[in-house]
Amino acid sequence: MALPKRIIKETERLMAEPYDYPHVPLTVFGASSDSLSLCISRVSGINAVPHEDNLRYFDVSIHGPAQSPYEGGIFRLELFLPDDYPMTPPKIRFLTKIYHPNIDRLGRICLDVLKNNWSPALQIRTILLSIQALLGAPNPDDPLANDVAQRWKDDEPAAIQTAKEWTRTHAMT
Amino acid sequence: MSAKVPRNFRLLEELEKGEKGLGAEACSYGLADGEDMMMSNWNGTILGPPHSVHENRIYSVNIHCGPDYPDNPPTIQFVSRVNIPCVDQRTGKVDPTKVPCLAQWKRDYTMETVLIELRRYMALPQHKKIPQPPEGSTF
Amino acid sequence: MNIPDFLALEADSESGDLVDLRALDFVSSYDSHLMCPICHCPFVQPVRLQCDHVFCRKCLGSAITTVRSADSEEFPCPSCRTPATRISMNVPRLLINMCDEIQVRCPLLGDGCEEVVPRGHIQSHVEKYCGYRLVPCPDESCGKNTRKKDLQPDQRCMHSYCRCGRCNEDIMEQDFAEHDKELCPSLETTCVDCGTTIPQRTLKQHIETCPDVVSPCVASKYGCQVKIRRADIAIHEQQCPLVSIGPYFEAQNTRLDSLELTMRHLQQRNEIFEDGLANIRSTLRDFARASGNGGRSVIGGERDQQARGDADESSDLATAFSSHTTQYLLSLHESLREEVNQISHALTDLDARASMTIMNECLRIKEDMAHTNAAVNSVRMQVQWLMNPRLHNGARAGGIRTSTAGNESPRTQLTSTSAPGPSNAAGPSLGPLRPRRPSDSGREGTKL
Repeated sequence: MALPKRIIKETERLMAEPYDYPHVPLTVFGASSDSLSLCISRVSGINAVPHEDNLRYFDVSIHGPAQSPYEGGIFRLELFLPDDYPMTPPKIRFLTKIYHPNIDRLGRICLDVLKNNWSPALQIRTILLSIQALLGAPNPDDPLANDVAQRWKDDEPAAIQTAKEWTRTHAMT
Repeated sequence: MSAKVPRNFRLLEELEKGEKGLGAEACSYGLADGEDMMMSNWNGTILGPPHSVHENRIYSVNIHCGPDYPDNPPTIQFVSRVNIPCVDQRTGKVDPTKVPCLAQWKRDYTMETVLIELRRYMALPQHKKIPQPPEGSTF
Repeated sequence: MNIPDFLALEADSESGDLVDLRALDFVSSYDSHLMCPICHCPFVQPVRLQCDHVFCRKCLGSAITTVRSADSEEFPCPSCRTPATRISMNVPRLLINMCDEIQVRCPLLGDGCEEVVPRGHIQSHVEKYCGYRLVPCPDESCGKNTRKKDLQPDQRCMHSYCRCGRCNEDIMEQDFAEHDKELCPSLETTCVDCGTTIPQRTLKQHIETCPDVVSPCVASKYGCQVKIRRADIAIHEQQCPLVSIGPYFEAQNTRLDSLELTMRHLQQRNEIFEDGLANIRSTLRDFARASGNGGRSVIGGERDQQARGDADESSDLATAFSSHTTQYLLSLHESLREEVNQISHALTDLDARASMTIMNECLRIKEDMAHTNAAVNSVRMQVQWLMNPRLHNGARAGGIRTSTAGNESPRTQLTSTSAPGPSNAAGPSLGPLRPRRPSDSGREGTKL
């Protein structure tokens, strides 16, 4: 089965991101494409590149949002578009260890738009932005990692401290 | 051809299936280390097939899924002592060439396929009468 | 139409369409508003929900079947999640037309058709006109397919093999013409450059490698005009200075390119800024017009003169004139603004000076006041001093006190004015001295 046009287009748009930000390239003059893509992610904090041998499988990196315990960290994720995408949501998982009440030890994410609230009008980009927002606003009342959520409720400053430490050890290399 | 599910998502699917106990009753499996992001090592159990020397025995096995799973089969090693031709009697390792589903591995096969196949292998007429080491002994 | 009806219709219309409109290659980019939010292609048979969101019929159908919880009457709109119960097939004609007008390439591009047609016509193009579509061979017993353009008018099967007379190869009849002219290995030709005889079908490869072909130096784009045989070019390239300098040029070129890119970005930004500046200027002008009505009468008079002078000039200068006047007015406006600025400066200056003098005066007056106060105080002291023995005497004398006090008071007033003592010692004011002028008591109040 050929890759649906929609996936091709989404990928193109994800890859073409730098040109959506006319203010950025001014600073990247003479820079190689690698640092260029770094620049992109500095703007939106999101970067997704498909695997060459499987165009439905993406390597993703998300920057921890500012003013959150994850600030400064770069979190790696993997994303897979199943056969019936966009009718079913993409599968997505953190590869970097993260201390967060809605993300379990295997990196699985509890987010409504990835489950029941998925809509085919959503896209990879919007989903990644939602995940970035989830990092900025943990929701311990709807937990996936029970121990983390409990700690978050009992002693939030300590939990945030742990999240910061984990960010430093796992997401800043 | 449908989309090729990448290793990690495939293992997550299998994990969920194993956790929910959706598979066959005679076999079960789960992640050995719940913190392992790569999900490489798994524990499996096989309930000995009825009407054989294995009846009422529970065999536990280690399953290792390499980085190229499911393109290549996992490696299986018995923890519980068992005497069948496909198992190395010194280490407990399963010889992949002697088990059809490992020898002719397909991408659709899962760890459950392997466990069921091993159980079937134990129940084969030529294997079900082989004398077994005492129950509960390990390699 | 409610949802079950829609799904039934959708299931019925499993279209065996020839062309998958979503897989087409679009020649140009299209407005993102024409894009279905589900398949990200221009709408195909669009339908509309109550919330006015539009989707392809097929996309919405599959979204409903996967998302909707079993047989509920409602379905959340994929774009806004508004629950929808009805689906309208009635979509503005305009939208459909705009989608159908987008230019696409024929899907048989890979087979050689380079046609570009509006999307609305692609179906009929492929069905009826495109010569590259495979159709079953007219001979029903054959079972092979043939390209439409290769069909013979007499409906003959072109799939039988016939033997090439020169190379003894079996060639299908439909490919025979091509074989005969180009591909047959027996056909030979002579290379114009080196004179060797080669099979015709390898000619292209040969020309690329033939050692005798005269080709330009690799540095030709940098100005090396040498053109020699390919065999000798390696020797030349070792000596050619332009070849060795080539990489440098290359690097410079890439630098130039990136600089141009940055330039373009800067230009864009500059344009934006200029626009902004123009905007600001125009708002300022409006503002000045509104606020500067007073000064306008002066400008008006001058402008009248100007206009009168310009009116004498020939009429073909009219356009130049208008811009001239605006400029003139603008400059007038500027100078006026400057004047206003100067005046306001002068005003603030004057203001400062005035307040300074006032303050100086105040200070002097205050000093005077202090002196006066001191004088008054010393007078009071003296009065007290004078009064004290008298009071003592009075206390002894009893009855005669009042008459002497009445005599004393004019004398004290005299001494206070003639001799202001430097003494500052403040004594407790005494009962008999109470009656005083209101200005005095006020002074004391402020002092305390």
